[in-house]
Order: sequence, then C-alpha cells, then structure tokens
Amino acid sequence: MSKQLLDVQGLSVTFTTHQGTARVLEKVSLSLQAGEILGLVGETGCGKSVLARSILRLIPQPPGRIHEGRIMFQEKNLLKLSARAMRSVRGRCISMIFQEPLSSLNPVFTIGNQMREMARLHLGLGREAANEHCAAMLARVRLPDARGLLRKYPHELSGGQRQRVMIAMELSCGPQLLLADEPTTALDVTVQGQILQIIKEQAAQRDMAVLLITHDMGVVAQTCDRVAVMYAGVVVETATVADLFARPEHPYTQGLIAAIPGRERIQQLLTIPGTVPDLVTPPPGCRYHPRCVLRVKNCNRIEPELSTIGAQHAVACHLSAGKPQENWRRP
Amino acid sequence: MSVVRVEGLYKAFFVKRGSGWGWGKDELRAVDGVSFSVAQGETFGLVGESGCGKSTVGNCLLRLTIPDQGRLVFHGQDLARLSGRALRRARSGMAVVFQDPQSSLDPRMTVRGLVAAPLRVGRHVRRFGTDLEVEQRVAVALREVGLGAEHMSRYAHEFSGGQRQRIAIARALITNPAFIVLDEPTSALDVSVQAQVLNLLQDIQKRRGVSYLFISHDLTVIRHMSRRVGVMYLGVLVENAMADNLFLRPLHPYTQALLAAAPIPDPRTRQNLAVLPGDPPSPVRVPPGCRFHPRCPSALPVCKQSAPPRVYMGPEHVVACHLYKS
Repeated sequence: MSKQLLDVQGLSVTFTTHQGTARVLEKVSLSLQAGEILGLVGETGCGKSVLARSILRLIPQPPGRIHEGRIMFQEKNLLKLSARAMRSVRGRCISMIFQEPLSSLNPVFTIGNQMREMARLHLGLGREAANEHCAAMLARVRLPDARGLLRKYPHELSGGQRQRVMIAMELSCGPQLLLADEPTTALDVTVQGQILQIIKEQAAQRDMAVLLITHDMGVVAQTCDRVAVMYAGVVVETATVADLFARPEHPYTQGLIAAIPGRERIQQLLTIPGTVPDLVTPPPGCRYHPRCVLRVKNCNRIEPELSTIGAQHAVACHLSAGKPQENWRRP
Repeated sequence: MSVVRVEGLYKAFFVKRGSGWGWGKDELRAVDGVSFSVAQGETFGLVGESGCGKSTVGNCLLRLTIPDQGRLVFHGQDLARLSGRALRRARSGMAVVFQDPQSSLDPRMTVRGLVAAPLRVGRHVRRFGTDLEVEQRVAVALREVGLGAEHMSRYAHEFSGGQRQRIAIARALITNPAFIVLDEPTSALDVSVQAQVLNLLQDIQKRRGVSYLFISHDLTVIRHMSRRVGVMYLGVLVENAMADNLFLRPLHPYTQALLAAAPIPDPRTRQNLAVLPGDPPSPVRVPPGCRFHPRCPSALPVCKQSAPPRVYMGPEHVVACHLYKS
C-alpha cells in the first residue's frame, strides 16, 4: 500500500450552542491516497461538511472547537501549523469547492480578477503570465472562449459555468487534495454529469486526491473509488465502492442503500424508522442504536470501534466485531 | 376516465430585459402548448430540468397562475374560465404539497390551524373559531399521515423536515380532494426520510384512489412513483409515455440524454456521465425550430426550421421529434 496523503486520526469537534455542547464529530478517522476519490456520504447534519472544513481549519472558533485528533497531510499535522503556514496550504496544497458557486464568487469582481489573485499569490506569476495561466485552466474544464470569460462577472454565467470556473480556480495552483462539498447538488442532471466527469478526469491526470461530499448514492457509485459513510458525527463504515454496494455491513449503510428508489420496480421502499438524533445529547453507546433493527444488548452501552473486516473494509458495529475476518458474510 | 385534462396550455411571463437600467421587457414562454391528462387513481410524473416550466404547469392547474391560453378540464369544468364561488368549489377538489415545508407552513399557526385552513378557505366550516367537527377532521387527517392528535397544538418549527412534510400532506388531504399536485415533495428531504414520505403518498393513493401530478427533477423518484411520465424541455412536453416504456425505451434524444446522465446507484455499471454538451438555453431566447436542436446529438437540418409534430409511437407513447414518423 502506498503512502497516505491525508490521514485523519481520532478527530473530535464540538460546537457550543444555546442548547448545550453539540458533539459534531466523534473520533473520526479516515485516510486518502494520492489520485484516489473518496466519497463521504451521510444525511443532513451528520458532520460531513464540518469534517472537510476542519481539514482546512475553516471552522469558526468559537463556537467550534477541535478537541483532539491529528490531521496528517504530507507528514505534517495541520492542527499544529501556524496561521501563516496554514495560509500557504489552503489553495496551494488543499483546495475546496462548495455547493453554491454564486456565494463563493465575489459579485463585484470579474472572473479574471478573482482567478488571477490565486495564481499571483501562490505561484508568484506576473499579471500577463497569470492571465495566460487562468485562460489555460478554464480551457481545461472545457469552457469555450476562456479569454472573454475572464472579463465577465459571475452573474453573467450559468450555474454550470460558474461551478466549472470554481473548479478551474481551485485547480489552478495544482493542489494535491481537493475537497468538494456537494459540488453538483445545485445543478441539473445533465450539467451534473459534465462536472463529475471533469472532476474524475482531473483527478486521474494530476494524481490528485478528492474528498467528494455528497448525499447521492448514485454520484458515489459512478465517481468514487472508496466510500466513508457517516452517521451523526461518526464514521460507521469505510469500503471500496464495489464492496459497499455489494456487501454493506453496517445496518445504517444497508438502510441507506435500500431506501434508494427506482433501481428496480418495487412496490415499497425500505425505510429507516425514526429520525437523526440530536447531537447535543446523542444516544449512549452506538449512536445509531435507537433506529437500528438489528440491535443487540451491548449497543446502548458500548460505543463500537471502527474495526477492519476485510481488505479496505472497516465497520463500526457490534454485530460485525469478533466475527472471523475471512469468508464471512451476513446470512 | 380522466380527472384532469390539459389541452394546449400556454403561459408567458414578462421579465425585465438584462440586469441594468431600461424599460425593455422580454417574453418568457414558460409553458408552450402542453397537453396531457391524468386518470383517476394514477400518478402522472412531470420531469425536467430547472426552468423547464414543470412547476408553472402545476400552478396553472391549481389556478395559482392564470394561463394565457388552453383548457384545464377538471371534473368536466374548464378551470381557466371559472371565477368566484365556482372556482372556490372546484378548488376544494384539488390540493397541493410544495417542496419546502419550511416556507409552505406558516410559522405562527399551530398544526390545528394549518391543517384546518383548507376547510375554512373552502367554506366547508365556519371561517373562525374551532368546533368539535374541525377538531375531529384534523385528528383523522393527522392520523392518516402518521401523526397523533397530541401534535395539534404545536408549531411547525417543532417538527423535523419529514414530519413537516407530513403536516403539509395532512393539510392537502383534509378536503378529500380528487387530485393533488405534488411539486417536488421530497427534494428537501434526506434519502431515508424521502423513502418514508414516498411510501406514505403511495399508501394514501391506494386507500383513497386520489390522482397525483408528481413534479420532480429526480428521475429515480419519478420512476418509482409514476404510472405515466411526461418529459419537459424549455416549456414543451417532448415525450409522454407509460413509465416502464419511457425508462426502458426512451425515444426523444433529450429523454435518452437525461436518463444516461442520471448516476445509477450501482457501481457495476460504469457510465460516461457527460452525455450532453452545453447548458440548457435561457427560456427567454428559445432556439427556433425544435428547442433541443443546438444540444441534440442527432439533429437534422429540418430541426432548425420547424417545430416537430407530436408523433404517436404506440398506445399512450407520444414523442415530439423529427426523427420519428408514425
């Protein structure tokens, strides 16, 4: 196995709210290799975005607080870096695209103005060289008339064009890791297809790792190499895409896959009863146990640890612990 | 027997030209000659990308928007020509559930007030005050969507997203409508909650025989819910067929592209997702001829000149494309 590019170990983050302290991330661990696309799936409020923002140290402190854990990126612990050193990591080594490109772009500056800023700051290019560089980047995400586009304002572009500009901008300094937080949720299906294809191509060409946050299992199946499933601030399962869909191990993952409509024409969709718990007072033991149909007696007392059950397959569930690792399948 | 029949529906809006100063107005043809019908107890799915006019069709059917041309026949009456008391009576037979319950439920009303509102507006009960009958009917509607009578005195913000959508469904059911417009009812919900709401809607249909117009951009949801499906592109219904036919043998190049671009939740079939180049054009500047021709992979010279006729390709399968001859 090759060297890990990003290695998050035991990361815990809390947010102080009026209701009390919410434990938004609880001992989260995951890792990424160069050139790999890792999908991070889970429902609203499960902590996917907080995890991505914590990697870039973008969570507001207070109310947020990173309690413990390490975020190792290229052998450096990002949580120990100075603010100055962190600034040279953001955009240069790790960059991030968000769901709504219109709120990430400044409406009063041209696209060129905003794109050049990054190239000049991180790559030290002059004005003309930066212009060249930006036009070349826009062409790589298949935007025609790149030169003309640099003179336009964000409101003159369509949603798909804006998101492509964001990708071009974030890739312009050649980052080793791209954090994509629901990059296609605000877009139409046909445009979503184009954007995902570009992300896939760029990851392959540059040997760049991508953390793709999404709630759409279809997007995961078609773009990712590996998947991490989160529930209420905890990573409950990590596996390769093929394994996750063929042999989902955690009851939550199984429910999530069964709840997707339209694969075959079935009469009733399987559902997960109940709703996501409140993170201020999460359930004791396994956070999923109140909704779990397969719970056993330890589930409400002991927190299950993420344990390996096969090649690149780990799960945090009491049902899977202590079973033989080889040749084992749920009956 | 069709509950609702739409014939040649046409609706244009006038929007300010450009983004700066000036008085110029552009015509935005949101819906341009759409025809379909919804039979009793069936779900008609309307699918398309944002800005294609699918919500405008739903709003016209409810007379929330007044159509410019066309007939909207509901129970033998043309809704487009009704007004006053007759319109109010006709409207009691239909209901709507919108996408975002956060904004469709008044934050200052209790669940009792919210669910009972259609009864008051439709003059089924007294305009103000509460009596035992209202109380009972609200309780019955809430029970039908899986909520209890104890929820009646609470406010919408006290519920989760899925529960709020249940309240909106209870409100839609209280007048015993024959037809409900569901405008993206699950788009704001998570997958597991979406499945609960979709199952609930199907149960209600089985029990009551109510017809749905199900508007969504999500093809998997449309396929799961609908018996017949219409595909819209820039204000035009490009294809209209039984759901199974449409998903297994799509005819219109746009339908084919839409199906090919939707990510399949199964890693064993790897797709090329970038099937259609470009963005949907602005509905203000609609291309001449067939509206899809600038993006169409199999466009013919004739597509640039004339709008395609509606071609019947079998029972209940209509496609608007020059590639086909009936």
